[in-house]
Amino acid sequence: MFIEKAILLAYAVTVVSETAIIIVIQKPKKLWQWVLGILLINSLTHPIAIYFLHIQNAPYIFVEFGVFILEAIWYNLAFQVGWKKSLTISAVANIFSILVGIAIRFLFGL
Amino acid sequence: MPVSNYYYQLNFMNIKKYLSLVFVLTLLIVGVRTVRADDGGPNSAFWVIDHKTNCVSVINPEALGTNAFLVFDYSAKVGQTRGKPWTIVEKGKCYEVDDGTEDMYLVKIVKGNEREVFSNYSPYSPTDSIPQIFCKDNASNNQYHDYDCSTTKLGYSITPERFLGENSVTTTALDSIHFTGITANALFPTKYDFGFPVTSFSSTMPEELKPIVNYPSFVSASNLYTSLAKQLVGTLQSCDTRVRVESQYNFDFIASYGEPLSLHIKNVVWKLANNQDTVVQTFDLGIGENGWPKGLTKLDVLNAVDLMGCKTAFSAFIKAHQTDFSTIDRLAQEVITKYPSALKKSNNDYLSPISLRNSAEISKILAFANNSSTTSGTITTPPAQQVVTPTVLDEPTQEKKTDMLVNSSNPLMRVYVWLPLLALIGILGFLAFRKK
Repeated sequence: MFIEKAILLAYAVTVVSETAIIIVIQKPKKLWQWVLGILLINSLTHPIAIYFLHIQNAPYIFVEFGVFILEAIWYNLAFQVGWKKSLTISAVANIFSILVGIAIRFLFGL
Repeated sequence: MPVSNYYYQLNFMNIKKYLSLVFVLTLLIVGVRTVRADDGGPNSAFWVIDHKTNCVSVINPEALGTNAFLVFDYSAKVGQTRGKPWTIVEKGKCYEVDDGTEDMYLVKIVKGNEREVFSNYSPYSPTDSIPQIFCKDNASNNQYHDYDCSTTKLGYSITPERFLGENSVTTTALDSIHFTGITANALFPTKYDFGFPVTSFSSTMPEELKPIVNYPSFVSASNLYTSLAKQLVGTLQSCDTRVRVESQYNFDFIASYGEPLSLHIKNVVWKLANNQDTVVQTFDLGIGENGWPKGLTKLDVLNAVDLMGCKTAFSAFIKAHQTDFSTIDRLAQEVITKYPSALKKSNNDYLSPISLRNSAEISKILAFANNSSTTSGTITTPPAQQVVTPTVLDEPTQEKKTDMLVNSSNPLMRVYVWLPLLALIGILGFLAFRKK
């Protein structure tokens, strides 16, 4: 698969899947703030994660854990939902986006 | 607490409990399966376009021991895409072959710093080659080079392996009627075979053949034959779904070669559309009739067509050209009637341009074409299939990867590389806005 398309597709899948699952589990009142917040944090973490994973060949598990922690900090800081809840939201969102990514690769043979 | 909120909290707690379990399990699975991101796992395809690639790998580079190693010298074009002129050969990696200018070099450790020298690319251009840098140029002018690696410029021991980068994935239909080891005309269900001569005759043609090849029936038949072969090559190229052709080399003892340890081809492996690695040819160490090793086993061409995903297209081609095949046989018969010497008497008869095809072969081709139900999806494997360890294509250097990202021609990609900075500004703005 062509490198740029793969990275951009992965970014789009991450943003869309995380937004969808967080809306489902959190049912936020100020929807636009959450959507913007998810977009911002993923725009920060995704290129950095790609850099560590595919340029520095860093271990996947560590990069994924770093993303999970950063996102959890962000949800707590931005929306004051408490540490427990923000860790849960970040974990669920990341797992869901990983699973969606695997499903897309499997379904479309990427 | 309102009842609705209570149920919401309860629901959320339950979700949390189960999802925590899923999270731990997923982390374990992902962690075990992808220890490193570039280990050939699902993400490895980010960097290398592994489509219709021709590459070579070495099954057992460790056989060289600790006092020597192999270096693969890329062609100028591949060197540029990888950001390095050559690379030290590693087990499990496949090195892209492009234009036949590649070679493998055996480097013996003499000075002690060979590994560092051959893995430090910074002093060189990606288009440089091993001979150009390390071997003596005996040429008298700058236009043509005559590199001699037995006397290296810098005191290293470098031996070219003269590896053959054959088995190209696709070949042009213009100059050749061959396609990935398949001779297109070998797939024709004709009684008479023009085969090799129709594409190899040139000005050096023997005098006694001139009346035959200039005979109108021969001209018409050979033109039609060549045209059909080119059409079939075009058809096979367009339906080919393979991902790559890999030539696997091995360090082995072959007594009849008179060499104690040498690099020779072991398998030709096709990576199919479903990413399955299939051995289509393998090296037979047995001794043939002429006293030499049997070499690579013959490709089962019909099975190869099927593996490529071309069975349906091939069947359609054969059915559409039945009249043409009959015309070829009729014209060939006319030539043989006029010039009986045109028909080959034996395999060593190089002066007769037409040979009689084995009737069993014709039946096999027709049966294959008529049974057009494709096996795609449930791909049949050739009898010689073995389990092979998958290899990954050698990746670009870290500098090259960064360069590919930052200097991408895709405008979306150029936005993507600046996203973290934009996002950081957005995040600060967001927090400031929330505090207000």
